[in-house]
Amino acid sequence: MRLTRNLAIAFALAIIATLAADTGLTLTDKVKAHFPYADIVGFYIVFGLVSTYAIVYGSKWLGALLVRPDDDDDGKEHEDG
Amino acid sequence: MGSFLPALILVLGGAAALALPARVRPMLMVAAFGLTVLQLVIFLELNTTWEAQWLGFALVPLRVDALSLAFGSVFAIIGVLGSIHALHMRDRGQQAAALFYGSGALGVVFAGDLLTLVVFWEVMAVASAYLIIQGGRPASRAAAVRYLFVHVVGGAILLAGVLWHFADTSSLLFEGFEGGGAAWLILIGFAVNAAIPPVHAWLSDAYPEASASGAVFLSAFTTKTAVYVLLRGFAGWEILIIFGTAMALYGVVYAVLENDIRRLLAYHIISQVGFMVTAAGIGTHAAIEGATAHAFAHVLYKGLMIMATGAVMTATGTTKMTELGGLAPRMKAVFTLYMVGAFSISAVPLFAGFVSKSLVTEAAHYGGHDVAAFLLYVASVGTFLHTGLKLPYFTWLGSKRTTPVALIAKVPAGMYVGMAGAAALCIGIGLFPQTFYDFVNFTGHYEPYNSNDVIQMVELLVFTGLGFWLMLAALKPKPTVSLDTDWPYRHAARPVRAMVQEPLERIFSAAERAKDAVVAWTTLAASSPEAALKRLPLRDGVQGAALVALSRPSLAVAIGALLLTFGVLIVVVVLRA
Repeated sequence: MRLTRNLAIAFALAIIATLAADTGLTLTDKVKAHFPYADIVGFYIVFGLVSTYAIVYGSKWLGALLVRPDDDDDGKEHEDG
Repeated sequence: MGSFLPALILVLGGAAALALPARVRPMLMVAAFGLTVLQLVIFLELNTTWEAQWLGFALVPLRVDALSLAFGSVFAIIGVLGSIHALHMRDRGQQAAALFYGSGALGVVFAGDLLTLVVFWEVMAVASAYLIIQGGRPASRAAAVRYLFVHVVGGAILLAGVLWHFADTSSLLFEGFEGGGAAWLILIGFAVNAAIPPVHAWLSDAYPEASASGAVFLSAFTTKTAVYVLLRGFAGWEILIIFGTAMALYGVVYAVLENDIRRLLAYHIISQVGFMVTAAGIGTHAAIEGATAHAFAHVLYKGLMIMATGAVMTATGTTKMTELGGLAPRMKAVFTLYMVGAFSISAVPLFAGFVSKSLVTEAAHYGGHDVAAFLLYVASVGTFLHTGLKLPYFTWLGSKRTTPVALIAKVPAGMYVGMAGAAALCIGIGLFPQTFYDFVNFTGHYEPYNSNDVIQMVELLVFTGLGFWLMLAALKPKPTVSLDTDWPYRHAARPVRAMVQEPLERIFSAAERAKDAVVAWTTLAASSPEAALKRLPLRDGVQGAALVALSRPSLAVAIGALLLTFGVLIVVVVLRA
């Protein structure tokens, strides 16, 4: 529970810090967009979260078709040499 | 000085490894790769070329330029680190195979003609397949057979393309291809080794079945030589942008489903090579330099991560995240060193990947390929999600287990030294990017540590971390395996077995049974002729006569002699007539 609270505080601080840094970049005209809309303040915050969700749930959806139980009970493992 | 074939030292080293005793071989490996590093970094000069005539073909077995020297140097460096990591290994076959495999990789990158390239390409295929066979895991042999099958087919397509190209142009020189059927065949041959989907599944199938030490060499050579030949021969072929971005995403999607840590890293090789293939497709000078830098850094950080997971496998006997967890307090050094590799591949600032991956995304943007740049950023999120968060969390951290995994063996000291060396290089490249760019002979100027790129990357990584934390339950590994495009040829074994193997086995087993019956009857006849006769399927009258004859040996001999005499007489009469 304590770890959860600390992580929540850390991420809240990270959001504030990165938004501040992003705003600073925009105000000093140093922002550089590698693709459309990437120069909007907070773009990479949303991008990081949405991409993570898309990758995880996209894979899970695909995984429903592609995974099967691992019945490979390989008692013998690797030994070098 | 030093302008002999860079592959030569490793060929000689491989031959020596076949003859020398076990106590010498580990140091021989380090020395052979070490001498090759010295030759490449100190003695071999840029723009050196060797030309030769063989059977009327104009060959160029040695061509040294910035591109070949960068790839050759990193192959030799990872060879040294991999050999140190393998100092505990006593397997003669693996040691020799690793040296021959390295010689094949160097032979390919320094080949100035297609015939030399094909020869070394096949050396790599055979040596790497042997490394997998000797993996010592239950599925190693079958995986190696599938691996060899795919690479033999790929090699045959490549050779067909080379012959067609020679027929068209009367030249074997390896330069940029313009198009045409021959070029497409050559591209397919290269694509197999680059693990471009749908011909990629051999990688995630075979690499995890290699030994802890063998996997380090495998992760370095085959796919990166393929990247080299794509950069050399197919720069600017835009179809590679589509396939490259697809690769980058394919690897991260499959990594979500993976439970095996080594297979997860294998999928991330596909993903990272996707960045390089995309750069080859973009084809600008900046993209080629970016791909070269990224390949160089990738060989080092991926080697480091494979070494670390190999150490986990050696210590625990398992590679499945469902059986691991909570190892960090007991394997602190391995965990720390792994994280250096994970931060590098995730492009965390101050680590190797940051100064190389950003070159590729910049090249995509400035080359006018914003969609590709966008998709490569998505792939970057996936890379950090799996290699920087999921794998370390469920292997070293994670929830407390009621029965924590037992440490069944000590991690050899050489493994720590190999990992430490690779980690030092990953950090060094991250801290001193200009030195690194000079080392790989960059002609362009690039400043990776600008406020925009650093802030954007930190934002991306921090909020991928938040996403991971929010989706921890969904990312929890399950004891499953994933079906990939190797499914058809894995399942082709069944009909082949039904149509060919099983009928042959029936014939052979019938012959075996017949042989056994003859031997048993002959043995019985020697000891008890009557019993043997009774076993024969003869009519009663014939069997009775035979039994009478057997009971009166003199009569039987007389009748036999009479029949023989008549037989001889008939033959003589017939012949004279």
